[in-house]
Amino acid sequence: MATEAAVAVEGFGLRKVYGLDTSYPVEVLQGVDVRIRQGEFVAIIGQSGSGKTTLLNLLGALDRPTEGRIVLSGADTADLDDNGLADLRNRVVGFVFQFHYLLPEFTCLENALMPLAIRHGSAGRADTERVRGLLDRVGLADQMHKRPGQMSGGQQQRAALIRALANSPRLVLADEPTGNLDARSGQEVFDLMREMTRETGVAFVMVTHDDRLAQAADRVIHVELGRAHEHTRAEE
Amino acid sequence: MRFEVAVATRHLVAGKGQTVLTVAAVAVAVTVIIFITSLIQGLQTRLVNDFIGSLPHVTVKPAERRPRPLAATGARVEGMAGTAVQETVQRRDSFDDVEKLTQQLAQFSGVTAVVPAIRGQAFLVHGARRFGVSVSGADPAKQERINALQDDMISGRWLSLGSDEIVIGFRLADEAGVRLGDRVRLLSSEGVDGVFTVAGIFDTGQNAADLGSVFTTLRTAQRLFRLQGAVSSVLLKLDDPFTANQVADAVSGSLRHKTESWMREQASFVNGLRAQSSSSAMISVFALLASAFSIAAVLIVSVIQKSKEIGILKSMGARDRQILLIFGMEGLGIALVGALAGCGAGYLFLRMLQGVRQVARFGRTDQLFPVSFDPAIFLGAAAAAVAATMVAAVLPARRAARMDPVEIIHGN
Ligand SMILES: Nc1ncnc2c1ncn2[C@@H]1O[C@H](COP(=O)(O)OP(=O)(O)O)[C@@H](O)[C@H]1O
Ligand SMILES: [Mg+2]
Repeated sequence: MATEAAVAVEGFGLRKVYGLDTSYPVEVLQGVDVRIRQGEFVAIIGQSGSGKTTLLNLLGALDRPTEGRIVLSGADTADLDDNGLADLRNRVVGFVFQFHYLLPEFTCLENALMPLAIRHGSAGRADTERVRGLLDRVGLADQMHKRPGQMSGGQQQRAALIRALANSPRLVLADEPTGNLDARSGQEVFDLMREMTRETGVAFVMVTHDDRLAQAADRVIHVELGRAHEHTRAEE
Repeated sequence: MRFEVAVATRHLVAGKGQTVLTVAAVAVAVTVIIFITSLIQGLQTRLVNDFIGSLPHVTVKPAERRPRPLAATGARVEGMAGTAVQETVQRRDSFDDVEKLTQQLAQFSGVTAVVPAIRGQAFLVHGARRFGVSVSGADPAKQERINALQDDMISGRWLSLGSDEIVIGFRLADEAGVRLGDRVRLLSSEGVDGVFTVAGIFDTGQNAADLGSVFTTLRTAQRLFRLQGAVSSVLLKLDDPFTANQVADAVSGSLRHKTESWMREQASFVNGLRAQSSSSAMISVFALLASAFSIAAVLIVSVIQKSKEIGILKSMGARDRQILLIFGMEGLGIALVGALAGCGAGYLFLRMLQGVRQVARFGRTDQLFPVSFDPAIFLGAAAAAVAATMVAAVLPARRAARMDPVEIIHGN
C-alpha cells in the first residue's frame, strides 16, 4: 500500500480479566493486538461469550484493559482519568448497540444531537443543520420530531447510527447493530453504515453474527479463545 | 448545565405518575408543617394573650430590705423586740425616683411599655358589708398597655378616670350591690380611709379579677397607700413575652432591683406551651421524614429503571458529575414544585380554618382557630422540605452517577 491511512485506534497485548476480586476470575482476552485505520470497515465475529463486546468496549475507552495499552486517536488511555476517558469518548467515538438505547423522552432529532448536548450544553445551529442532513440522508426526514416509541426498530437504529456520528467521531463501534432487526431492515441499516463510513471516512467496527454481513466488510477479525486473529478469505 | 437541566426536566415531565407522587409527598409535608405550626403558634398566641394578657410580662420591685437584726436597732427592752422587727418588715419598700427608673427601664431591648404602678390590699366598704380587694393604681392610659381594660368596660368610663374615682369588676358590683355612680369607701392596709365614686364597671372574663380587683389612678393609690410621689412596682410589657426571663435577669443584673417574670410565676403554663411546641416540631419532623423516605424510594426505582439510559449517556461521554447533576436536579425540581404547592395548599387550609367562627363574649363572634400567617413559617417549611428532599435525592443520584456502563451494556 502506497499511503497508509492514519490509525484510529490500536490495542497492544490487551488482556481483560473479569472478577479479579472473586475466587473465579475469568480471563476473557489473553493478549490481543488490533489496529483499526481511518476509513476501514471492520467486522468482528466469534462465538457468543468469546469476548467481542469486551474488546469493543476496550477499543471505545468505555472500559480499561487489565493489561496492555489502548491508543485511541493518538491518546494512550492509561494517561487519562475517568473524566478524560469520558471526554475522549465524546469527541472521537460513537457507539451503536444492539438495542438502540435512544432516550425515550427525547425526539429523534434531540437524540441524535445528544453527544453535542453533552459536550456543549446544547447543539449549535450549524451542528443541528448538519445532523438534520444526516437524518435526512438515512431516510428519517419525516421522523425528526417523533419519539422513539413512535418509530420502527429499523428507524430507531438509523437514528442511533446518526447519533453515533453526530460528533464527527473518528471511530464508530457497533455491537450487533442488526441483531435485533429483521433481515430487510438489518440489511438497510448495514448498507447505510457502509455508505456513511465511505462518506465520512470514519473507522467502523461492527460485531456481528451474520456471516453475510461480515463478508461485506473490508476486514474480519475473529475473536476466539481469548485471542483475535485476522479472518482471511482463505480460511473459509 | 443546559444539557442536565433538559434531561432532568424531560425525565420529570415524562415520568408523570412518579413525578406527581413525589411532588405530592413534598407538598403534603410542607402543608402539614405550615398547618400545624401556624395553628399551634396562633393558639399559643391566643392562649398567651388570654392567659397573661392582663399580666405584666416583667414586674420590677425594690430589692427587699433585710429585717435589721435586733442588735442593730439598739432596742434593748425584751418586750419590744417583736415590734421592732415587724416594723422593718412591714415598711413598704418603694421606688422614689420614678422618672429616672422609668427612663432606665425603657432602655432595655424588647421593652414596649413601662408602667409605674402601685399594688395594695384594701377593704371595699358598702353599707354594712366589706370586701377584700386588691387595688391597682396606675395612669389609666399606661395601665391600658398592660391589660386592655377599656375593651372590658361594660359601663362607665376608665380612660378619663379622675381622682377619687375607681372602676370595679361586675361580680364585685353585684355582690356589693354597687351601681355605676355609687360612692363606696376604701380602707387600705396602710390604714387610709376614703370615699370614692364608682366610675366604671368591667367584665374581664376572669372571675378573680371581676370579683376582687379595683383599678384607680396612680395619684389616688399613692394617697391610699401613703406613697407620696413613689410607686411600689414598675410593670413592663415586652414585644416578645417569651423573652421575659432574659429581660427580668438583665434588669435585676444591672439595676439591682427585684424582678418577677411571668414565665417563672406561671411555670406550669409555660411548660405546657413548650410541650405543645415540641409536639408540633415532632409532627413536622415526621412529616419530613416520611416524605424524604418516599422520595428516596421513588427516585431509586426511577434510577434503576433508567439504568440503560444512564449507560448510553456515559458511553456518549457524559461524566459522572453530569449524571449526578441530572438526578440531583430532578430532586431539586420535585422539591421546589412540591414546596410551592405545599405553601399554596397550606395557605388555603389556613384560610378555611380562619373562616370557622365561634360565639364569643358580648355576643360577638370570634375565630375558633386563631391562625397566624407568618411568612417565616412558610419559608421555614419550604426550606426544610427542600433540604430533606435534596438529602433524599443524593443517594439515588450518586447511585446513578456510579453506574458502570460496561455492566449495563453487557447486560444486553
Ligand atoms: N462484567 C463482567 N463480569 C464478569 N464476567 C463478564 C463481565 N462481562 C462479561 N463477562 C464474561 O466475559 C465473557 C465475554 O463476554 P462478552 O465480551 O460480552 O462476549 P461476547 O460479546 O463475545 O458475547 C463472557 O463469558 C461473559 O460472561
Ligand atoms: Mg456481546
